[in-house]
Amino acid sequence: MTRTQPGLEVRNLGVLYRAGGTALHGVSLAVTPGMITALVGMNGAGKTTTLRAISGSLDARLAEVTSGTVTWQGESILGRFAHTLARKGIVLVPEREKVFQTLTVEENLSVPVKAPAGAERHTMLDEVFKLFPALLGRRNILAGYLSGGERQMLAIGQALVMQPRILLLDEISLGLAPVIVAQLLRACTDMAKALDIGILIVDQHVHAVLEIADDAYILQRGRVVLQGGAAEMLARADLEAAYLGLKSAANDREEATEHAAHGHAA
Amino acid sequence: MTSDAARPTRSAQGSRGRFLALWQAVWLIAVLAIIVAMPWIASAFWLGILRSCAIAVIGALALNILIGYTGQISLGHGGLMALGAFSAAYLTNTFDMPFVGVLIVASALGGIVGLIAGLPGVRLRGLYLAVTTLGVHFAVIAGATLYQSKVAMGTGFRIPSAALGPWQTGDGRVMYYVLMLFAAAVTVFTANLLRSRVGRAWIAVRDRDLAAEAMGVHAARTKVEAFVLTSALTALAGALLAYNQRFVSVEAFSFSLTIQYLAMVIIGGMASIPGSILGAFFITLLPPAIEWLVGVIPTPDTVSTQLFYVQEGLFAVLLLVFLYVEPRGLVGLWPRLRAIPSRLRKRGRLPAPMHP
Amino acid sequence: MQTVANVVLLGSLYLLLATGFVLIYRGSRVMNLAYGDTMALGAYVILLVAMASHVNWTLAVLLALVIGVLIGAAMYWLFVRPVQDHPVYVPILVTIALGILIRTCISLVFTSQNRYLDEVLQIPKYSVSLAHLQINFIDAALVGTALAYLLVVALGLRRTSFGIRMEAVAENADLAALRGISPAGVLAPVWGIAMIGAVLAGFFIGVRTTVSPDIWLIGLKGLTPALVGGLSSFRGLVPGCLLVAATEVLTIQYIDPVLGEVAPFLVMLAVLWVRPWGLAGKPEQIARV
Repeated sequence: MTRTQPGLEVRNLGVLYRAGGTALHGVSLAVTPGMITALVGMNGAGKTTTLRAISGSLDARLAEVTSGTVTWQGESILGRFAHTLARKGIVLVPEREKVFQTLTVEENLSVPVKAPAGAERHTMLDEVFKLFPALLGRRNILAGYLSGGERQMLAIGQALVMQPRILLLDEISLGLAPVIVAQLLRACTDMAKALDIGILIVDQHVHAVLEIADDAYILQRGRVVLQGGAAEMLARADLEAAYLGLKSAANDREEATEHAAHGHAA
Repeated sequence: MTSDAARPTRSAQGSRGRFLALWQAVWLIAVLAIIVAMPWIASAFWLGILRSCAIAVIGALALNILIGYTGQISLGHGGLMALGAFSAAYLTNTFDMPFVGVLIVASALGGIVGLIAGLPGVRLRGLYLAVTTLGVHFAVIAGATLYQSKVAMGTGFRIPSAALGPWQTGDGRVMYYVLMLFAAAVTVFTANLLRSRVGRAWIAVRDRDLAAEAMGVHAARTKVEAFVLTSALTALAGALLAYNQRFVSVEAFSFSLTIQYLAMVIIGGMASIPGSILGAFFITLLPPAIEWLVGVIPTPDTVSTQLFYVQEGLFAVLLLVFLYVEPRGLVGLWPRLRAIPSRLRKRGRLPAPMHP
Repeated sequence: MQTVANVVLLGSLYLLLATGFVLIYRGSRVMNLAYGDTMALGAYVILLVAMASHVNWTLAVLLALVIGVLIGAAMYWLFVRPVQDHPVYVPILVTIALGILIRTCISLVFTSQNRYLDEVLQIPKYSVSLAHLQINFIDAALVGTALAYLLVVALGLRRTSFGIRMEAVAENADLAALRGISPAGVLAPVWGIAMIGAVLAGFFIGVRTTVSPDIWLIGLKGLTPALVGGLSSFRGLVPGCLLVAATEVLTIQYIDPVLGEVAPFLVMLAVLWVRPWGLAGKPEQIARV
């Protein structure tokens, strides 16, 4: 993977649950502005934990980072407050509770700290509605009354208002029709290129997400088991096996990649 | 949570079918011997203080059932004790009811008030029970004030000494044994309660993040059950207080009394029977200790004239210290102190979180 | 007619207290039971400033307001913030303990003696005749201030960007943080603004009646309309305050003064029994056991 400029780098990240057990072990990945990185894996693999650790929003009562580093443009961001990181441009769209349901669409877009005031606010709103036309007709509706797809669009729009440099998307396709999912993913690709944002997208729809991604990582039980270019990964015959964690009979390539991944992570 | 069951307590639970270590048995017998011998060792003054401690133990255990085991809070403890005390006053002065009868009726009244007050609060968030009980406290105090001013010309009620077989409650030594017996009985009762199915259901309601939400309706019922029991026991303590002081006046039951009991439970250690007992003794002994201290150490005049506020202030400071630093109270402090050497050795491992 | 005036005046006093209390609850979901003591503190600060320097009474009030705001913010930042995620009774106990501490300090410094603010401050005694009533300057100020405070707070919450951010923090503090809003940075000023109501209430109580360490009880009574109206709603406050005030005044006049003193609590108990989410609240707002 070539890097044209320093971006988000996660090295050997380890997270432990307070109740006991490992959430993440030796996880390393990189996200570059302008490129899309996919992080896939089954439920409970640790994808959300990774995003939360990066964005500083890990619930301290449940888990804690115990090893590794996370840097943005060379500067360590581990242990900083979530709101500080958000202002720095590391913006997370969480899996659940992603918008403020008691605020209207417009208020949701105006609430982030970097939302402009006055005339510029109208410009900002226009741009978001251009990206997501479905929201225009709902601008004064409480977000709690929006449909799932509209809510997701609002969440992404709200995140964009923060002028992110790294956008972390957690399961944006959950519960949405394929047509909408395709729409959202297309919007992501456009955003990444046009606004030079590095997107780290977590999703269970492996194929859809690998199709738009540049790089990909497969997470399994808290470890990176496979990584590489998204296109190559899509082409692998044993992709399902790696994703589901099944060992297929003669698969030296998979094991070799795994060793390389662990070596890299160590 | 602290495993009270495994912890040696001063109650009789240790002797029920479990093998006691020799040193535990010796310790237990020694303590019991001292308790029994007290009336012959201590002066009347100290005996009176110990009697107050015993009453405080009952009240603290009652409150602990609510706070420690079902995670709710009552701000009406003082009012409930007043209810018990004034019931005793009314029943003895109007009907000349015997001792046992008075206690039963007072407890029942407490339970009923608990039921009435607890029912609405139960569907709501924990905060609502707090304000509901606050309202109950002031309502009871107002009723008692009215009663006192109309009937006793505002001064208060005398409680005559009641007969208990060949003895009289008016006798300091007799009352001491009576109160100690009640304290022990309530301790044993509470300990057994928590082991029972009912008690375990209550603890599940307290640890609500785990299972209580799925329990739905049952959670509501257990909260009411707990509150009714707490109220009944508190009223019982109030009635015993009336017999002990042989005088009942509404001034003794201010919101400050509620604070004292909250302090007992929190400082002693929530959800811990030894904690409540320890807290009860600690808080009961504190005001006389402060008074003595103020007399001995030179302090500005305002301190002695405002002694009441100073004592309350001290309770508040202790409450805060324990809420922030050691939510498990005095009882939790001891293992923490003992663990320091091994904690120093194990640096780098994830420390255990403090969940109150 | 005089009775109506009494109800309106008492209701306005409670409105000042209830507005601040609801603001705190709405923002941080904490019942600040130290509110009554902050009110007492406000009154004593005004007293202190006035006794010490003979400044104009408006300046004394302003200074007390500033101090109240700072105390409110400090109370939140230092004491409530660390325990916000703890079980629900911990913040309540913390505020109760803080209230007691304030009371202790007040009584140590000032003793329990009654003080009369209007003498010390030398408030001008204008009055106007209206419909057989003598309307005092101070009484009119009380009603006006209470309504103004309510309007500023309630409208500010929805019209200003700060207010909307507070609503966001109140709904979902984690998401707010993810959008660059520091929850503590929003809630500390909120607690400060809430204290304005307490200090103003303390001023009016001191001027119209007396100042003593026990006035915290009045502060506590002022919280009942908040529960009657619906804890997170501002719309229920005016009817709630009037209802509680009317019950209290009428009970004192026609039934019994002692009972009247606790009438607010009785009204609160009755409303909680019948309609736990308050007059203007919604059932969903009190969700979950």
